[in-house]
Amino acid sequence: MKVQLGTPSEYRKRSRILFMLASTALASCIVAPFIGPTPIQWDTVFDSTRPFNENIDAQIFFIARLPRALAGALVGGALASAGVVLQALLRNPLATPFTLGVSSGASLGALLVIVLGTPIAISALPVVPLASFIGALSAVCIVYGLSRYRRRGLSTTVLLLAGVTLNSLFSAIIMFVQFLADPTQTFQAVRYLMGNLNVSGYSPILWSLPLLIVASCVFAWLPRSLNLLSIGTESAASRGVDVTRTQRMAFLSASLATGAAVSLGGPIGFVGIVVPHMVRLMVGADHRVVLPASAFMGAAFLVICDVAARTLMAPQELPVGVITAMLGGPFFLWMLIRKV
Amino acid sequence: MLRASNIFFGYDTISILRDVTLSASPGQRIGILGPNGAGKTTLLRVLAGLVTPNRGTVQLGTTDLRNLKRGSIAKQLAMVPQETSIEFDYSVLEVALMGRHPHLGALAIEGPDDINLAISALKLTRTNHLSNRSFSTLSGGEKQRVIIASALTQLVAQTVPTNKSSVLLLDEPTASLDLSSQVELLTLLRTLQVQSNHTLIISTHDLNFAIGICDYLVLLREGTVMASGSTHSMLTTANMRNLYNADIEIVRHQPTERLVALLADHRISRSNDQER
Repeated sequence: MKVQLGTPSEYRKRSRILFMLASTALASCIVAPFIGPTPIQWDTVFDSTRPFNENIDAQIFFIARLPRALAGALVGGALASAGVVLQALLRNPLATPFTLGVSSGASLGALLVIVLGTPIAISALPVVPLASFIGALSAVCIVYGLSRYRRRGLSTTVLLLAGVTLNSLFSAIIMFVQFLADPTQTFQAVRYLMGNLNVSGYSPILWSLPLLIVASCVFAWLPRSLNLLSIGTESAASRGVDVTRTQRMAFLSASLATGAAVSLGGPIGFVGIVVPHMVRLMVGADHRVVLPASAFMGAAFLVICDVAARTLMAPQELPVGVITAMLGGPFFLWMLIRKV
Repeated sequence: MLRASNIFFGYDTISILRDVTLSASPGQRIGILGPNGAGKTTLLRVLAGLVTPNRGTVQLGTTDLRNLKRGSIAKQLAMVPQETSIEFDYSVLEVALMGRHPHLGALAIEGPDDINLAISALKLTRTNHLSNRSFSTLSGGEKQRVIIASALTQLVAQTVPTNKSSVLLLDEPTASLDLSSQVELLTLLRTLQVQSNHTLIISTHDLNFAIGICDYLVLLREGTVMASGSTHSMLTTANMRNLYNADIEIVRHQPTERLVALLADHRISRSNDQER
């Protein structure tokens, strides 16, 4: 039973869910680093009497596992919220952050660097993430340019078609590059395409953070306009929404978040579609709740999936994309059936 | 006051509206009549500022629509489209509350006042009992009334002085309604007319519906105004046959003294004969 809008109990329910999800996200970031093939103790990690150099537990916690948990939280949060925004923008519940070609652009960028190597000596920079971000950006520019061609506004139909077409075009080029590459490089590339949160240290996180912050600021401004877009662009416009500006900002911010997430963790699938729908089942359709709730839930979901990826076949490590796809695939099918 | 002067509109080489002039004063109930493809919906979209005419101006009060922001247009002018489908699972009350959008700051949340306005609009459109239902589960007529409630919620303003009348545009409101829903809509619009001073502009091809609510008619044919004037002066058998190119008879219903359109489709009109 839904709670009546505007009543104190409704506000309490929504705040409770948001608080619960935020705590889960935070807790998963703290607990996840304690789980792994090498057991570490809470008391030892936070034992301030031992110097850090001699405290192996603390080193494992802060150097090896915490950055990975944080990366998982950022990537999961970014992909889930980008999924929410794109589903609202395209008025299509089956849209994902990767529908509009961002991820295949990013993959192609990363792949070219893996296969061709770095042309100049810029190895001080995180080259693969940078290349994948540039790839994502180019894909976004192409899709955006096409959708504005011959129209003053933004055509979501063209956006969708251009994105899907670009996705398959890029996938074809990716296969071609893989075909030409030697087996080691192909192996590396395939691993990248499965998605992996195995970041080394904090610097990749710090690199992506500014992008994610910009995207989040735009996200904060969007939700009520996204609600109105779901009743149709003309109705939204007659309710006072600047439709073209909203669509443009939604597309660009979601792409920015996706690009940053993919450059950090590779194209990790299904987070961006599974999480928004689970959240909608819990809180209803209002994007002012759905958007932050999805960000928190996406963060917690990916951190937990990554723990599973690290431990299920330990000491072997599964790519986290395999776990999310194994959970997400069946969920996606269930949703499709439910819709019919 | 909403005034459109010498509107020309078209896409590429297709001309849709040619030299259309229309003026609506506060409280007036204008019907835009015409056959399918005459440009009724396009005219409404121009009046709502959703598309900019190639030539001509639309003025709301004394200001050109092009110089107004969407938000300030929306405070005085609301549109009810022919049909509304919603992708996600919004409740009826949430849909009605969407009307408060132009009155709220960027990050503001609806307060108790906004919710009371939405609830009274739902009561007026007799949909309050549905307020917790999901919009997408409603029937066509119920959806229509909820969207009208949302538009009414949008037009209520504490800040705008009451002498500024607001405009409600309805696009083919009866198109997908059965007879009982049509009667309910007619009753609702009449109630609105009594309770508030909204200007109504209704595009329709339903003659009897137009007779039931409109006091002024604009006859639109092939993108131009064929004639316009009071409902009684416009509703003649000759005008209607000319407008729709079909055999229509306007008669006076004796007991009520009201005009009624009869569709006499057993005869084929002369001009159709000639085309064949």
